Amino acid sequence: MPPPSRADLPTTIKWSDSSQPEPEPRAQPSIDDLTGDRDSPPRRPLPAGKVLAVGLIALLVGALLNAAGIRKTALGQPVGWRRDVSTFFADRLYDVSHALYLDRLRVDLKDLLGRSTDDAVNTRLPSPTTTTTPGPTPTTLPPRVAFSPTHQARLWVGGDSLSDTPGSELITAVGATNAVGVLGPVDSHISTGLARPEVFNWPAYLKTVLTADQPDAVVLTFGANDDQTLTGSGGGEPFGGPDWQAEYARRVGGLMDTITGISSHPKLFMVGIPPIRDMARFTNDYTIINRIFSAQAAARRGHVYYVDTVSALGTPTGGYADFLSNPDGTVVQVRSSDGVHFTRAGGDRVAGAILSAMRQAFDLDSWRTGGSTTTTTTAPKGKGPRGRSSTSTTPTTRLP
Amino acid sequence: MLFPTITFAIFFLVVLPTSWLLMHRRFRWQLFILAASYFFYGYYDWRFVFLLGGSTLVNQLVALRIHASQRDGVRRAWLTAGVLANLGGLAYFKYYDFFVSNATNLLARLGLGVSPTIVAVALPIGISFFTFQALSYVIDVYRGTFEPRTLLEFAVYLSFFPHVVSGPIVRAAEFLPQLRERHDPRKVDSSRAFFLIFMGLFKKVVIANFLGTNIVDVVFANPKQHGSLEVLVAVYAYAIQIYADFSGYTDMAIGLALLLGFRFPQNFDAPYTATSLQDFWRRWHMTLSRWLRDYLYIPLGGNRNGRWRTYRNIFLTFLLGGLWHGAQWTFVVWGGIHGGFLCYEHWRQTRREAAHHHPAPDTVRGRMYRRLITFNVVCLAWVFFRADSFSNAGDVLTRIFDPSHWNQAAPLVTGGVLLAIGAGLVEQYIPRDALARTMSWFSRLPPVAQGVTLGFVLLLTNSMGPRGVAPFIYFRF
Repeated sequence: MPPPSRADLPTTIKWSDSSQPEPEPRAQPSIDDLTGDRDSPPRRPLPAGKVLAVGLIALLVGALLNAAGIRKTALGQPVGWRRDVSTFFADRLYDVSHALYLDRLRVDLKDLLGRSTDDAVNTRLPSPTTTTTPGPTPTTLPPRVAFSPTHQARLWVGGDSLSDTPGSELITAVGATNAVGVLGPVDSHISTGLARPEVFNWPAYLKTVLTADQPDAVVLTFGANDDQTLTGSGGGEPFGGPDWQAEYARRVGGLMDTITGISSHPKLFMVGIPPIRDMARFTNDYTIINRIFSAQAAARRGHVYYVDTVSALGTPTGGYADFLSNPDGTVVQVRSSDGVHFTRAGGDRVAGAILSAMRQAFDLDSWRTGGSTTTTTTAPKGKGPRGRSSTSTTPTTRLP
Repeated sequence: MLFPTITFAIFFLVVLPTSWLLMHRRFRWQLFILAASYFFYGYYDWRFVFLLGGSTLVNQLVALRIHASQRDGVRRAWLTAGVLANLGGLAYFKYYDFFVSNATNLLARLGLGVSPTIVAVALPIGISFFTFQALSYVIDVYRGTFEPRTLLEFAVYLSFFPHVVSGPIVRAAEFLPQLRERHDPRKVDSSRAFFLIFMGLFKKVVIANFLGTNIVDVVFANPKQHGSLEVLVAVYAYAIQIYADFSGYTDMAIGLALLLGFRFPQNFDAPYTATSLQDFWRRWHMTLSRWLRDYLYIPLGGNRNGRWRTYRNIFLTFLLGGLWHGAQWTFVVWGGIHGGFLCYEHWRQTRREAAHHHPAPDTVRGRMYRRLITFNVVCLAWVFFRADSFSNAGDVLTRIFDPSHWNQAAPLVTGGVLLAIGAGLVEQYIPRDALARTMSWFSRLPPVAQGVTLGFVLLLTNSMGPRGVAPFIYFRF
């Protein structure tokens, strides 16, 4: 007997293709009619114990074959006893897998996919080359470079997950200037930062990517995952103490110098962390990180710009808000439901703050009038990059 | 606790043997599986366990009152109370911000500015799914097609961890009778279960995540930065991503339930092979479309009151179905596109029947043509489903149809992306009996060989998928 056609099955849903009145709700079809498994060839069932054995064998074989990936996943866990236990077992597993050559399959597969560095662990971090000891604030700023549609600034945008939406909005916003070209979509890597180089080594990654791209402007957003014990070289410090702050400042400074030391000498726009719904975490943790970003940027005035997001997304008192009012009285949701990330409207506000900082670093508009540009050469002591007040008119500077 | 994680694997390795050891003691088993399910649900956010528990108590009370009463008015009053309680909870948690911000903005545009305090309400995971399941229980009891069960049984039904977060929407009448069946621990349909779990894992981790990170998210974040070809491929990629993501999840859910001895209804049946929108809805999220048909479309009158009422009912059902997915007007438009095209198909069919035209001959070319049309209509609707605003959807569509951007480079359209899209489509054209034969063959392998085979699938999945596990798309619904 041939199997029933689809139309015969009671699973068939006819929205309206019958001119006949539909019957009143009827008794439910049996579950066996709904599984889509009628008339299948017979299968041999297994006792529950053997099912468990199959599952365990699958997990064991899968674990041995993926040992390198498991080791990296274990290393990426929050610092603590769970990570210690996981890495202990993951290391043993990897040793066994390597001794039996079972790890080769994954290596070959990754090579084939062009992702041979996926399982690599690199914890080396650069040290700053700029002196950040207290002293006179640099007052001479580098000349403000002009860009135009024929000579566009090359923009690179990236960071952790907080970079996604503002980065996309920034890419849209700079399009309107006609003086900025983007080097690609937002290069975001979720749950990363500078605290855990074994999870993702930003300095090493950026050095490779930016050396290839030679950008004029780099917009970087991270730090929100960094309120934890530092690992890697110079690490081991629990969050927040003086040693932690010194080491984190060293890492931030090293990263800033790595970026600004690329041969195109890009300006770096370091985006601060906005208030989050968990205001205790913001006050206790993120303000420390923001302060370090700001101080390190100030030490590299004219090369690194700290973008404050508190004024863009916070309440007038610097608190957290899900919704903010527009000037026309309409309200707009600026934060996503997790109380951390942004909606498009929130991202737009952060992008506005970044673009504002970019306009201070670059001349993006004088090409419209075809004249020279105003270039800032000095800054008063004690003010941030946006605190410049004395200006002089100089010819437009163009990069080769 | 996401299915494709080590945490869940450990959780399930504890639950599976314990469940089978307790299965012959029904009460203890129910207590155990309830505790496991609440643990699973509370792992996301323990506060919402109280919401799930509250929903269980309220719906059981309503069902018992309806069942106990002989008077129609009283029964109807309890039903109304139950429906309002369920929809009220859903409205508060899912639509409060949406309604308040829309109302505020409307008033502001009318010059009546108000400044309400709007606080984003955290969306409890799975609320849309367990609310619909609870409604099916209450309504079926009201209709007399189902009798209330014990509180413990109902609590197990509502919270059963394989389906609590993202379905499939298993109705009370499909699940609760299974609680009283005898489940033989010597006969577990493990080959189908493993097949579904690992197939689902591959679809989710490799195909959906790969397409999401490599083209869809990038293009939809900024359509104006991409050429027409790249945007068009991103739309097709999203069609495959959401299919692989959601069907992958439900495949895993069905497989996990099967390992525990429970059958769930099928939720997807090769939807992109559909030759019409009607056909599509017989194959896509089948448990939702059956729910909408039986608890919304038919109560609205179905097709019993003339042509125009039928169109209205179809359209309304799909508008509400769209809104069910999320508090955004773009979802409503998504539902409107589906409802509109279904009305059009209905109108065309009615007209053809009235003119005594024979149905078009079922040729291969004709079928492929209808599939192509249907797939593209579905993709058009997906643009609104994926976009976070009308302007975003407009940018995507404008870019596709703007001829000046067709020559733009398309670096995101890589071989890997095309391969993943192809794999997602080809998978749907594999004859079902071929898959059934493969399962049958797999079931006859020795257990060790089965385990080793599945271990190699884990190698492929873990090596080919992007790092980390992206949440399932339907989690936010």
